[in-house]
Amino acid sequence: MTDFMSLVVSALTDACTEKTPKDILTKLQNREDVLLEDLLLDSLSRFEVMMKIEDTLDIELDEDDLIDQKSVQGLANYLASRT
Amino acid sequence: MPDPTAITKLDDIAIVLRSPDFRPVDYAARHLSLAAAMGFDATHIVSAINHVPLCLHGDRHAQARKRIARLINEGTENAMAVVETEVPEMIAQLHTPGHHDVMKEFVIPCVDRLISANTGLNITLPSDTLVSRLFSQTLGVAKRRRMNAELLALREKIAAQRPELSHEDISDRIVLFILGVDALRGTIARSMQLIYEGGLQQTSTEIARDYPATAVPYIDREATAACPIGGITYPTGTNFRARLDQFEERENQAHRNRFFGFGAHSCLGRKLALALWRTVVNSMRDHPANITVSDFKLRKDDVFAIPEVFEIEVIHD
Repeated sequence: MTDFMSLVVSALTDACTEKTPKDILTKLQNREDVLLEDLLLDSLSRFEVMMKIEDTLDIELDEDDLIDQKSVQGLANYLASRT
Repeated sequence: MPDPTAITKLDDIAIVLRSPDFRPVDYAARHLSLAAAMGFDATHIVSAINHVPLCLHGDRHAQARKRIARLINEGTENAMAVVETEVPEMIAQLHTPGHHDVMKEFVIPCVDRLISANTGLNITLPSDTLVSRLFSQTLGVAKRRRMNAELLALREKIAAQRPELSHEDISDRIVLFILGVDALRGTIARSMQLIYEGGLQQTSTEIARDYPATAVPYIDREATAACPIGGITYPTGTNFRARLDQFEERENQAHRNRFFGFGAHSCLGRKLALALWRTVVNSMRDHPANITVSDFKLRKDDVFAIPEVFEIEVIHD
């Protein structure tokens, strides 16, 4: 069974850059439910996240799917609803 | 990238769409940049974009527009035959009592038939085809990969049916699918929805004068020189968004035809699209029924306004 939270945390962690506040990154790595906007991902990073999720789950995503979700848990729940 | 500056006044829209000082968005560069960063193939997407007049500027635009205009004109007679003979039958069937999926039963097959007739090809695209979506900025990588594959498959189908066509001739026919599919599907479908929900009380002439709605809510342009718009001088490189959907408002009825754009970039398929629309309206009136839109939902799309779901209940008194 897919662990959507682990997938989301892994994809987001890989896409974080030096712009991401360290305390937010730590919370993310600890699987806390941080707000996606607090990760300060740029557009390219969002595409990296999408691609990793798409390839893992074999689904198609739009950038809006990511933008519409407020938090890490919200994104995991959304992906669970899509598969 | 900052949001484009919205342009809503008719005169300003005319300037932005007519003047050579405004060029189309460089969609090809955007796809290529993402493809390079993400490591996927966008060859066929970029090739297609480089043949779409709407995406080109200057001499390249003029040449491409001439080729596409010629192609549309060559197929107009065949397409008009579809409009006159097949569309009324399709609407009659759609207005039989019961539950109907308007997109699957009418809009998608109708537009497929029109494009096939116009291009002299027999090609049916999947209902969720991505070939029209190369203007989208928000598609993820998986959809871009599928779009690239679909464009290659379309090229191969055209080549198989018309082996005498050159690479360029095939590219021009691909352009008709790109420009026709979502724009025409969305415009017909949204216009039908408004009529079903508003009733058919207006005269045919009033309804059919122009589309009540458009699937192309805006067109983006980039300034190639400093430009005065609405009393403000914007610097070179400013992105503008000409809002065409405002012409759906009642007070803008006199400008409904502006859905089709201005000047050198105005819609080449306008004549055919309006003929189709008049036939749709007349056929709707020829087959009256008590029709309720039972479900309607627009697709999530940053470019086209096109229904994902459009279902009706038809009752005959």
